[in-house]
Amino acid sequence: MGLLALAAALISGHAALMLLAAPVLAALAAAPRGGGAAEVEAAGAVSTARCFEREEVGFTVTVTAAEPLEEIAFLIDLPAQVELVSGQARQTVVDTAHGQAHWVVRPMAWGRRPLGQVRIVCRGHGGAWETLLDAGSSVVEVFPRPPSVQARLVPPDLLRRIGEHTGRATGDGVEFGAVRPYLPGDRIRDVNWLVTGRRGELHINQRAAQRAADLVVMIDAFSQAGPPGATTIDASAHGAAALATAYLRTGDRAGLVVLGGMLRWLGPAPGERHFYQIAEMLLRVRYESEVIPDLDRIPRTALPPGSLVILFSPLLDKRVLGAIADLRERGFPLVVVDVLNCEPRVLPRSRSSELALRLWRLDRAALRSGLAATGIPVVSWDGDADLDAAMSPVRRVPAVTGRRS
Amino acid sequence: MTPASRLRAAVLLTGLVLVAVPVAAEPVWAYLIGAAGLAAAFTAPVTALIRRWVTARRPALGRWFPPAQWAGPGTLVATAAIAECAVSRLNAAALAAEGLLLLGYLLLLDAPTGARWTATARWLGSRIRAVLAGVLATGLVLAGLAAAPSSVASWILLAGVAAAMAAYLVAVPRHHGQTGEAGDPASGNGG
Repeated sequence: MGLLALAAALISGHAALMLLAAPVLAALAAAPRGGGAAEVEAAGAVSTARCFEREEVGFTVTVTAAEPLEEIAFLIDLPAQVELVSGQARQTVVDTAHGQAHWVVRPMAWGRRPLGQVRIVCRGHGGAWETLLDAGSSVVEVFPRPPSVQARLVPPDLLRRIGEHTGRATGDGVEFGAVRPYLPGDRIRDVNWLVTGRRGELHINQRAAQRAADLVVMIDAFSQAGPPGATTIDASAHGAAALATAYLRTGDRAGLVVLGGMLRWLGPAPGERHFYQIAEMLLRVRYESEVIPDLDRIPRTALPPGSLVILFSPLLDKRVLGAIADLRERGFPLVVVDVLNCEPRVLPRSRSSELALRLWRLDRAALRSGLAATGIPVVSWDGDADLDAAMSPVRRVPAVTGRRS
Repeated sequence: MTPASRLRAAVLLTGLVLVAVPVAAEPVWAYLIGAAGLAAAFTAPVTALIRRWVTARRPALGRWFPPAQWAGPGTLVATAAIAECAVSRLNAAALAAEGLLLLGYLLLLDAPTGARWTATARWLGSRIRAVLAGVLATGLVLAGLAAAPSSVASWILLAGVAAAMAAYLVAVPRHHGQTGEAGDPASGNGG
């Protein structure tokens, strides 16, 4: 500005305009001058490396300089799907050699997410030098937040492990199983006095055994449809996380198989720790490939016989239909959750386009009824609705008639 | 009211005065320059308000707005004020006041935003020396103009050019390379 005022004075020949230039130039010349550029280091840290969707994460960036700086300005640029909860986007500290900025952010979608790009501007005293640092972006693993669901569906054949599901065999559970004549060794408190009185001989109540179940959740990652943030894979990941949480909470074993190019699986296992392994595998679901999956390559430990298989799929890829047929032939009790939440776009005022859409709908209906006819229940879930309500039409998993793998 | 808002209000007020003072002594056609300057003075705070409003509703759209310390409008305000002074016939005393106001405006523009109020006040306090130097230079030029009241005081202009070159060579910030890696809590060396 000083130079501009000076130029104006020179051009107009109006020397009084020097009164505009003089203070600015004098102030510039009199500004405190630091020495050479100081060495500056920046480091970022996050409060946690893993979190669930919509959980708050603290993000701190620290700058350390060899000598006090006039100004250290931090500016965070948040990516999409990450919200700033607290802390100003631009934070400045002055006259210090050690500056720190802290933000609390909230990732709104699952996946491996960078929390934000932080640019740091450091200025030496008097503005003698300026440097721009890029604090990079700390990546946080954001697990899908599982919606609430109950472990209601169980396979016909339960494990021999103690669990919370009522099995067909008799045992030491709490559910009533049957009445039979008294045998030596039976407990007196199990005597059913009503039946005993009617029959004239001692009868006892039998209880159903409480057994655990094996659940294998399959995700069809061959195709993806829907708007960003609400795709079929997003719905599948949320559904898989919900079911795994529900079954693991009741003492069952849960596993995961991802159908999408190279087969990836995690064998059923119990416990909370296993949930985090499943969640980590879910982060790697998005992977495009043209490979046709060969379910025979899945070891028995990953897909144990008799496991309940719940497949989340938009039913758009023929390869997954082959996988469904294969699973059914191998005798797995199977439920398909159709996660397609959108339809093909129709050109406005186009009769042929509308006709094509109607044919597409008919084709989908035929596909679903075809699956149902082979004993595979198909339910629809768009990722937003209550998963329990969506799966409520399936009261029990149909008995298996195929060959046992 | 946050420190950043107070600072923004101070910048707006100073900018408005800076542009409005020469209006009284300038020809009618130069009112356009004044209007442009006034519009520029309002641009930064209005943009900041719109940005805050939009970001609260659609965070993703916030990135399309200029950063909080947007220097463009401030530069336009100062340029408009200088242009107005050049075409107006303000007396020396008014020009001196305008020059000091310009210095204050540029200092306020450069003040750190996003810092605590005490830190900003400390930063402004550290500029006292620069302000005193500006006042002294203004006094010297006023004295020079009083001694040689001709419209062309070439020696003053020559001294001004020399001072400008010296100030530019000595005091303009030098930028240093950027370091740091994306995807990692970074470490970098500046300088």
